Amino acid sequence: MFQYIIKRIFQLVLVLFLVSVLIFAFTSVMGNPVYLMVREDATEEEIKVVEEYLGLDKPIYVQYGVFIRNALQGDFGMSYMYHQSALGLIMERFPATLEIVLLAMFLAITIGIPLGVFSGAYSKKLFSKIVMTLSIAGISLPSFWIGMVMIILFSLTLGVLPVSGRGEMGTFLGIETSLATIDGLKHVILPAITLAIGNIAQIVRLTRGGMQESIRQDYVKFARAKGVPTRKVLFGHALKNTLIPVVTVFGLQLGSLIAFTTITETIFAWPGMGKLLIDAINSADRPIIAAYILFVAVMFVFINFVVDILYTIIDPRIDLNQ
Amino acid sequence: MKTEAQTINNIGTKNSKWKLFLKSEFFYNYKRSVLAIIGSIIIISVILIAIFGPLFTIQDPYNMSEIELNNAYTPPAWIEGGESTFILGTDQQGRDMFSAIVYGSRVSLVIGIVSTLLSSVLGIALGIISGYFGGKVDALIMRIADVMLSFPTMLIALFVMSVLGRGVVNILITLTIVGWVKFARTVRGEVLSVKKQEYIEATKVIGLPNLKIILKHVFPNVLTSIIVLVTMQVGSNILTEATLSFLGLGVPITRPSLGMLCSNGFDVLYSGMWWVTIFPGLYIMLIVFGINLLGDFLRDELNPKLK
Amino acid sequence: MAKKILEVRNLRTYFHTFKGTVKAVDDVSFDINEGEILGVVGESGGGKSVTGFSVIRLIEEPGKIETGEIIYNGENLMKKSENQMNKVRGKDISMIFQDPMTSLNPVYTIGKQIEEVLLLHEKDLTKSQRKQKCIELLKSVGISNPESRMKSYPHQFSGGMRQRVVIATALAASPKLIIADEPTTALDVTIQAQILKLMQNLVEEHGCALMLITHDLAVISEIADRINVMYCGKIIETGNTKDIIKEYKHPYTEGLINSIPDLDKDKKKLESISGIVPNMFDLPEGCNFSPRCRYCKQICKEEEPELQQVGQSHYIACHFPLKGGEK
Repeated sequence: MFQYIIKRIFQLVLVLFLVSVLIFAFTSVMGNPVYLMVREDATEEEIKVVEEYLGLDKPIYVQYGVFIRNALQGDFGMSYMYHQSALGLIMERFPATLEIVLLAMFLAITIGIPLGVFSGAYSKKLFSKIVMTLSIAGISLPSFWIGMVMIILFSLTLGVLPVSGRGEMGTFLGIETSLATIDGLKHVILPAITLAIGNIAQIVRLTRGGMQESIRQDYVKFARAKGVPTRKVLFGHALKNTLIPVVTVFGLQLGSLIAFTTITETIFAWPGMGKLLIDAINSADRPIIAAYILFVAVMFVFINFVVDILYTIIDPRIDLNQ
Repeated sequence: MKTEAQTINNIGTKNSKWKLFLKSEFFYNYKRSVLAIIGSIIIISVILIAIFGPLFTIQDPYNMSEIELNNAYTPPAWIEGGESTFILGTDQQGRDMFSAIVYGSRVSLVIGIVSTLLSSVLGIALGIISGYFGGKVDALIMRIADVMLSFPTMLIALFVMSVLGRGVVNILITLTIVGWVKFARTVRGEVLSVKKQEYIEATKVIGLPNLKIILKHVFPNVLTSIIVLVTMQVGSNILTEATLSFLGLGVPITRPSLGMLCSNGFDVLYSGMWWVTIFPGLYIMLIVFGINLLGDFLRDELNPKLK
Repeated sequence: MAKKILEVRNLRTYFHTFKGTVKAVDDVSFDINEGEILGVVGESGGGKSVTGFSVIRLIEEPGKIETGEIIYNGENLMKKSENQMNKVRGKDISMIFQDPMTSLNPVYTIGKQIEEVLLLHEKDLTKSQRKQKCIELLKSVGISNPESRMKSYPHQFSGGMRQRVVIATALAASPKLIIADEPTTALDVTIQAQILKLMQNLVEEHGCALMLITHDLAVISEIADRINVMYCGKIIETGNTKDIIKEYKHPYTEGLINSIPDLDKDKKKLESISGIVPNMFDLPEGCNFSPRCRYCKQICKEEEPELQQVGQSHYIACHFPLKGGEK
């Protein structure tokens, strides 16, 4: 275990190094932020002052060194747009994003796994074919389109759900969240479904594929020969053996969702980090972009770590030190 | 018996290969797979519409002189206030939605197909290089692949597009950059396993083994995987392009793709003009759905693991 | 006469594939008496395993039991629902599979997998009683330190050990019949004899019947009371073990017996049956064995022989039965 953690940390450092170089390189060639900050008729003198203020007058490797030294202290600089700490802004928006993501993942699991299990076990049945067709449709839908259809359907036509914003916040177990109030839930439901649909489809497909393979295995047949009822054979014996890829993808999806809720947040005007990112990109706000990407990188390494630990719980044959 | 032998002799080799295909399990299953057939029909129709559709549209939606502002805000023909000229209605500038969708699908399809070809070529090349040379080259390429895989595709695409700026060529570059990894991994794995086999080891007297021989053995083995990957990638690239365009980081406004049309419709969504965004989105879904139906069938059929 | 525990009547199990229909089991009838060991032999692809799986109705798509009666203890299993079958499987009839490496679920401990049977079929046992029973079962199949081994996972066991665990699982609910599908084929030769002996002793102890499916006539002749010889989905000869080994009347049985290596006689070479098992999609006209039969006559290629009685409980399907032990 200790060996494994060391290995992971080493990996984290390597990934972060590569990512930081890439980010630094990319953000350096991205639009010059100076012109976004000064008045249109600014003099050369004024531009120079701003450049110095931002540290852009120094050679590139010095800029990178400064960038890394500060980044290690969690300081990615001040956002050009908001004049606040970039990382602080992201952390401030993070809970709102986490809310819709967690709800979406909850929907994806509770709907996706049972559908996948049954359609995989009875892959020749009509039910399975319908589920499969719907799941293909699910991954073929552009997420922005789902969001807009939701708005048209539930807000503009039926008028039952609000279209944008985060709604009223409540306190639950000391955490401020919109999941704690009725109004908040009403606001969170459409963005969460929008995020969930593609993921439900993916989890269905993955679970189905795994089930199709595992129900052919002898141990599943042996379990049936023992007289184990079908439902238990499917969820107890077959599903547990297909969970490894499902958990992997689930981890990746969770990460991807947190990292990229931009579309959904744009459509529903949800004040999360995805909205922050697209605003930052549109105004070449380098500190936010850099902090965002590194934040996502760290998060992915962490998720991979948790997924690996889950492997050993699911499958006793897996030894992390190998 | 005699006549049968004669007939077989009489058929040319090319023809008999085709016959062999028609008799194969693959084709038998294809004929019986309703979904695969629907998928094929959708794909063929979509391509035909993209090629010949402009012959039937009432206007060239890019040509501003053909568009009249006083046609704006016309709903679809079957809704009150709709006009039969504009079957799917018009947008806020008076552009016919049907024409816009036909022209938009050309942009989407070209981007989807070309970017897939580019990324598969790049991926296959990097996979061969990585597997063939091994060592540091391999490590570098695979570490980059790892980094790519540890980010959502959309995030990388968004980031690269924000550096490059909008434009068709830039989209192609972006989609190539995010799409090569799967191809490279598949091909690299196969190169490594072929390299390990004895007949290759035997030819490796000094230095590196014979690349020609390796490739001769690699390609037949990865061909089916690549076919599946390419099919699926076209669909996902069309979606990625649509999403980028929706965010305003995709194709230029002058030549809108389907995603761009949706984005345009989002601006007027709250004024009740749902048709401007619904129809282009529906068409994207139809295209990608058709591709995925076929891709799914191919994967089930060509993946020996499930047989 | 001993009581019949299982009667199979006119069983037909077909597989419908894209190349056509395979009649894996074609009109097969046989009985098993209480406490008896019935051997089923034949080359692979002869329908032995499918017969075994048909008995507990574990036939999966594209296979299907077309017709037939499977009467267990007076009840027709074909009439039972899937739920009712689950009360028979493992409880009254249990199975042992061919490959012990794959028949145990890799993600559960040995103890849990045996306990599962008790949980399902012996519902009045308490937790500690179940544990006790598991330990006894593991001990009875020759696993030392059963208490600690219960917490192990299948991958920590060797093939032979796993098959012992499978046997313990099959015995857990004291079934009346065990169907063993090639239980020793996947094991080392040295272990094969041990496992067979173990099975023979255990079924005797528990008073349970055994249907032993194997391609190895030598194995079966050692422990079976009666033998069914199957070829291409049909029983072509059936009788007491002595009848089959000494008084065989079907040319196919003769071929099987002659291909057993005999250490006593100093034979120069091993005899084998010429030709291969016919394509199941395209069976020959007349007798299925006719293309490979050295006694084949014209009628064999035209008419399929019926099963006919040739001894007290000795039946054979051949137009020209051999005279006992004739060569």
